[in-house]
Amino acid sequence: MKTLKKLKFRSYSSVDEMVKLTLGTRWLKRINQRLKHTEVVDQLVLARLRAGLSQTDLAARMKCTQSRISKIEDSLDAELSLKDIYEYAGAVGVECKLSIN
Amino acid sequence: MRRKRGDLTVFQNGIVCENNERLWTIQEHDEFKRDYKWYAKKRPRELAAVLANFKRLEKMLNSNQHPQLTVAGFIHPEPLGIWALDQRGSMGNLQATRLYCYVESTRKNIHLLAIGSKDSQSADISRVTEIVKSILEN
Repeated sequence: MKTLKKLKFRSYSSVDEMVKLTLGTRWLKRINQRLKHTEVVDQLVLARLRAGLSQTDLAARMKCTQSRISKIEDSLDAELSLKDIYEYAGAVGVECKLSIN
Repeated sequence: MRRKRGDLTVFQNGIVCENNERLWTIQEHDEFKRDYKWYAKKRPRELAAVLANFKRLEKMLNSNQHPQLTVAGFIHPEPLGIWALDQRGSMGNLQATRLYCYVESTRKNIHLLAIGSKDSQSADISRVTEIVKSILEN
C-alpha cells in the first residue's frame, strides 16, 4: 500500500498576512492595485453571498439567465453599465447610490 | 479594555469576527511554497493576478456561511473538491496560470496546494490530488 506523505504547512490568518510576511508590502500594494479594477463587482458579489443567494436564485429575481449573472460577476467595473449595477443591487436588496459632487 | 463593536478578537485557532464566526485560515503547503517562490521571481505579474483572485475568494468565503454559493468565473472545480483559480480579471496579456487550493469547510481551512501553468495542468492536478488525499486521511 502506498504510504501517504507527512503534511508540512504554515498557517496564516489572511492573504494579506501571507503576502506581507513572504513577499513584502510592495507586493501587497501591487495586488490591491489589481483589485481596484473589480471593486464594484466584488461589492455586488459579496452582497449576493450575504443574502444567501445563488446565481440561479438571483437570475430568477432579475428575470434573466444564470449565465447573465455569471457574465456580470466576471466583468471588470469598467465593463458594467449603470443599469446592470442598479438592477443587481436592487435584486440582492442593497441600496446603491451614485453621487456627483 | 472594552471591545468596540466590529473589533476582531484572536481566538485559539485563528481570528473570530464580531458574531463569533471564525474566519478562514490559510494553510500554505511545501509544494505551494516552491511554486510560489518560482513565480515571484520568474512570473511576478501572473502571481500578482492569481493572488488578487485568491484574495477575492477569501473575501467571498468570509462574507457568507455557505461556501457552496461561492461561484466565480475565475474558479474552476477540479476532482476531490480542489479549486483552480486562474489569472482572469487582470489587465494586460498574462500567461494562463492556475493556483490550486482545497477548501476544507468543516475546519474552515483553505489549503494552498500548488501554482502552475496551463501546459502543466494535468501533472499539477495529479500532484495536488495526492496532497488532498493526505489532507483527507489526516
